[in-house]
Amino acid sequence: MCILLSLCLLQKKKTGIPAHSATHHKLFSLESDLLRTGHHILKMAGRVFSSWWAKMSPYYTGAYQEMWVGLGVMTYLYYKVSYGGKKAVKGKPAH
Amino acid sequence: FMSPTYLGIPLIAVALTLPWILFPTPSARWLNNRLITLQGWFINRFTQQLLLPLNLGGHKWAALLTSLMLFLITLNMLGLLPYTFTPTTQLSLNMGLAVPLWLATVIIGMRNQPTAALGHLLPEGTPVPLIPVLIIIETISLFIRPLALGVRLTANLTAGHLLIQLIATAAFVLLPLMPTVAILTSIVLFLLTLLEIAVAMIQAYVFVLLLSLYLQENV
Repeated sequence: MCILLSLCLLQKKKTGIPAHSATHHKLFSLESDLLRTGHHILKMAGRVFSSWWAKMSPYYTGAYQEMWVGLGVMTYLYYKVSYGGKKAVKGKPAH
Repeated sequence: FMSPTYLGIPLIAVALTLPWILFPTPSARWLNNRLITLQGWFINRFTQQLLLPLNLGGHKWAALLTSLMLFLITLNMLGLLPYTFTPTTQLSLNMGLAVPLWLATVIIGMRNQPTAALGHLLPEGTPVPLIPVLIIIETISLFIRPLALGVRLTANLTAGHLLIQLIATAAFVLLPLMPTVAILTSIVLFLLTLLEIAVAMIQAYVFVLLLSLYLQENV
């Protein structure tokens, strides 16, 4: 997608001719339509998240407070097991 | 199936998100389609049964326990199909579910009624000389609960999948020899139905979790 965007911009800069002619101005315009779609998707995601949070926030902030302690403990243990300490780092160059 | 390999790690993302698709959200209409009605009926019935022994404080956990039950049932049942990956065979996932939930029940008990929670460590009517020993034993049994929860689920599912694989391989290899195959394939089928006691496994999981919550929040 980035390659396509950059190609389009380059074409405009080089020749000075727009990527599409004036008669076809209603056709899909690569840069602005992609950005607009991305913007809409972000807004939609924001709405979805805020509606979810409106329903679930009493749970996560009130009822399940003790869960976060356990989650923190498990996250810490996972990092210890997966990535180890100094000994594990020393052992890696042996591969 | 021993550890998340390259086959396991990408598949686990698919296997964990697929159950989401199988439970559609109810529409705003009065009457939904049959699938949603059936699922909604099951969810309501299950939640009602689950919350019977709990007092009001425990009802906050209804959503969590029911969704946990649905999640585990779907994961296990989907894992029974051929060429699928069951995330609950990974000890990391089961311990990740068991430890925070068990720890939450313990902390709830300690926060709301610390003396009663500590009092659970000593059963009523024990003779005085036995008290120190029994407290140690009860503490050990308390701390072994999350381990038992996680390992029980892992071991049951892993053993079942392993048995299915072995017996299916044996039946396939013995295909030229006809009579043995009939007996072996019938054993495989029987074992598959037995393995739908994965559903009972989930009941055991949530039941045990519920039991600890019940002990902490009630008397």
